[in-house]
Amino acid sequence: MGKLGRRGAVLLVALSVFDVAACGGGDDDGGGGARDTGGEIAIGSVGPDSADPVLIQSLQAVQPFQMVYTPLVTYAHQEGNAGTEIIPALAEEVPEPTNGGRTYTFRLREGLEYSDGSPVKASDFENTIKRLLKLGSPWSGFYTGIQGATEFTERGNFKADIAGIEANDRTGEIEVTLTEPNTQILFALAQPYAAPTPAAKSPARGLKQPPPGVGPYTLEVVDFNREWVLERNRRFRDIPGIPKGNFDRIKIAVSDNVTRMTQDVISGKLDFMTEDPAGDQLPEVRAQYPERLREAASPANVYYFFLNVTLPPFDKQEAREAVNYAIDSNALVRIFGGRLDPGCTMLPPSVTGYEEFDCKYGDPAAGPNLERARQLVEQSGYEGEEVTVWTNNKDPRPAIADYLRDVLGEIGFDADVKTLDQQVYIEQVGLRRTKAQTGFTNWYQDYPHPADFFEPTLSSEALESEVTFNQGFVSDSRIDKTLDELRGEDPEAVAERWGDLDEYVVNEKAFVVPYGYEESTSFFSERMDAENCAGIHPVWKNDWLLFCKKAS
Amino acid sequence: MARFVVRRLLSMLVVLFAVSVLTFLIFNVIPGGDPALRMAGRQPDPAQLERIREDWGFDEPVYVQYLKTMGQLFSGELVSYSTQQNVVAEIGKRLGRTFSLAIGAAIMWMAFATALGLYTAIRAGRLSDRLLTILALVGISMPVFWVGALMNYYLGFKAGIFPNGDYVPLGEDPLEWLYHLILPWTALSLLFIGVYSRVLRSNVLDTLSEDYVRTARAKGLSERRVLVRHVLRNSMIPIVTLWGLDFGAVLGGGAILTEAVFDLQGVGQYVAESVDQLDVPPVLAVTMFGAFFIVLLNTVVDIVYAVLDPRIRLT
Repeated sequence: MGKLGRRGAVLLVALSVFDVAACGGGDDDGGGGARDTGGEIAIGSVGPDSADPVLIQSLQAVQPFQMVYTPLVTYAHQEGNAGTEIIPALAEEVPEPTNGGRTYTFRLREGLEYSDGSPVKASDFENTIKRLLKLGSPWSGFYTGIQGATEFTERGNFKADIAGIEANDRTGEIEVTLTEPNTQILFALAQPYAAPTPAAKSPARGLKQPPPGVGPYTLEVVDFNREWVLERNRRFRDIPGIPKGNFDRIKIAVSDNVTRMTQDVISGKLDFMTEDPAGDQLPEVRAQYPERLREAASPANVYYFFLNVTLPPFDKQEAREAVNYAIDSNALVRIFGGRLDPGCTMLPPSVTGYEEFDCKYGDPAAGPNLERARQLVEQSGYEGEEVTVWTNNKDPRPAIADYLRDVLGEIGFDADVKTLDQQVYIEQVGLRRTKAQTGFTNWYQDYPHPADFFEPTLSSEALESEVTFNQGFVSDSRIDKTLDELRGEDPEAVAERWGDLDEYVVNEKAFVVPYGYEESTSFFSERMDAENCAGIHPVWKNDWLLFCKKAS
Repeated sequence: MARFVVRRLLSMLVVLFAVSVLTFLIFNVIPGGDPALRMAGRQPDPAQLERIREDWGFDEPVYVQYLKTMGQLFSGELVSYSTQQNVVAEIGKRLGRTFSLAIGAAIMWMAFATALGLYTAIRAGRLSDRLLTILALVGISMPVFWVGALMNYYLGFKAGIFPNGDYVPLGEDPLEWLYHLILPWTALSLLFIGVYSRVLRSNVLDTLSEDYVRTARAKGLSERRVLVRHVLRNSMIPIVTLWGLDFGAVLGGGAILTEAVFDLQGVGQYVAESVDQLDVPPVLAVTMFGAFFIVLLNTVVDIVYAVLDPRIRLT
């Protein structure tokens, strides 16, 4: 059974709710007059979490790294749904799978070279996958479906071969064979951490400086915790679909002081910030600089309460349905400071397979049905049952848990809240021995594939992990069977079946309580063109290659 | 004197050992504090977890892990679990910022507190004493993160009189260095000025009623000489003790809030970020660093005691 999509790492991906045409790519002026290109911009960020492309984990790292590390295939540099399309990058074309859907054959474009002038070799790709596996990259789980990858990891010998990767440096051909058909592999190979880097400069240990890449920029760590710099890669050759970017130099000013970062964007000291303005500053930013602020549920995500189906009271369907009936998404929107798009599906609106089915529990934008919820609790026989709501200390999660506690109390449970530090929360509620009955959770897409919203969160196989994201410990034969059937299929071709699975999970079984999709912000300085060049991307959140200044 | 210093050095080693063991144990016993799980991402593969634990030595007994970590710390090879950057080098890069903040603020709070404490004591009961007492209490009551944020917002961001955070190294531009640190120094000093001036006022009032002060006056010494040579000198002993502890703590990363508000990227801010990520190596290193300064400055304080009060002998 393939393992892709069940072992991601943090963050990523989704389809944007915006359908604004991209601008600023390549030499395109993006419309609306002559663009002021060249020069330098400054971006505020809490900073990339590693200088090594295979060890990066955060969105703050993926954004600059995708400008430097061009993979075999990549996501289209377009805003909105168009950005989820896989396009050829270093490879001449996006391959069709052969060998019953198990083999993908790529051929490198001719004459490719890294920013240090060395030629790109097919074997550099295998070296990157080896580094991902050997160094324990947080993304390594995406690639364990490649034949021989697990054996390579277990052996721990970096010089050993990965049986499923055949790289021919002479012809530039790379053949990747999977243990079983899995359409998610292309999405995983399109990430910057899967991009080839020169093997001679990419040994089997973590790197303190980013190695050379093929992309339109080079990256240098001036001071890991203070300053990183992106500069134009003078050796970058035109690759169709990959913009050159509109600036000669991009300075990343690292700071964990988001309040000051926001002030610096307001005053123009910074041109963009990777973070959302702090909660107390957001209303002011919304009111005073609306033309500089963009809000979108991107990358795609879903916020929901997990219900542990192996423990009372949620081992009874009536109890699970009761919670679904009792939740008022509007109350949660208020808790999120307005940055929540209410909904009742596991698949967010921008993901293939999303269907706006009738929520059995009522329109999420309307009020709750507390009377029906109380009846169901009574029917479940668990009235007065003690329930602990688990949450962590990151704002606004304590308030979300307080809300659920109050709701559970109103419908007949005896509820209390347990709050953990955010660093250990996921580990704790993902352990069976913790016996967490219900609590806060969310899922940010790793890549734009509907399986990514079910395999880690609701499949039996997810329960094999030491720490599972299937915090409800759901083991349902219909879910597992459907996932097995759809894994090798093109998601677009079976979109309806993904929608059916969503309806089954929420309406028929009430395994989870989805209540909405979080919107993130993109805040720009006065001189940047936030309206046309915000670069809101479904995978990287913001594609800096699309950023541009206002037309002069 | 030599015996005193040797004894203090030995006790410093004991303190540092105890601090390091406690810090290491705390981070090893707290729930979910498994660094391998955080490194492995959100759906860890068992084989991958195994590899990380093996590579980083997390599968070894706690005492072995502790000894290895300490060995790496003292050889300058300790690496952060979350960023994999060298911890000692990171602290080194931030030292100048923390020292600049701590030394400037310590001079400021000591000077202002001494002046204020002495003045309010000799003017005890009068209107000026009452007003300054209220001012001192206000200073004590205002948390540094609040007063710092207000200063930064109104004087930095809004009015633009001072820089909105940031830091310029002394070697790069001394005037800019001073300019960038005025607000942080003031914010950090306010609390200490309030506390120290209250303590000093009380000590001075007590000392003023001592027999030797009356004797000094009877000998015909000027009031100024009585105050400075006899009253202030004796009243300063508890202040010096406090100063030693506080200055050591601030140097060792205790100015977390001030550094964060003004984004100084000093040692305190580093440890705050590391605690947030449950990243043991930087926390351990900074804790040891802080403990070292506290013990060191206490030794210095004991030596200063002897200077202030000749009756005290260092043995």
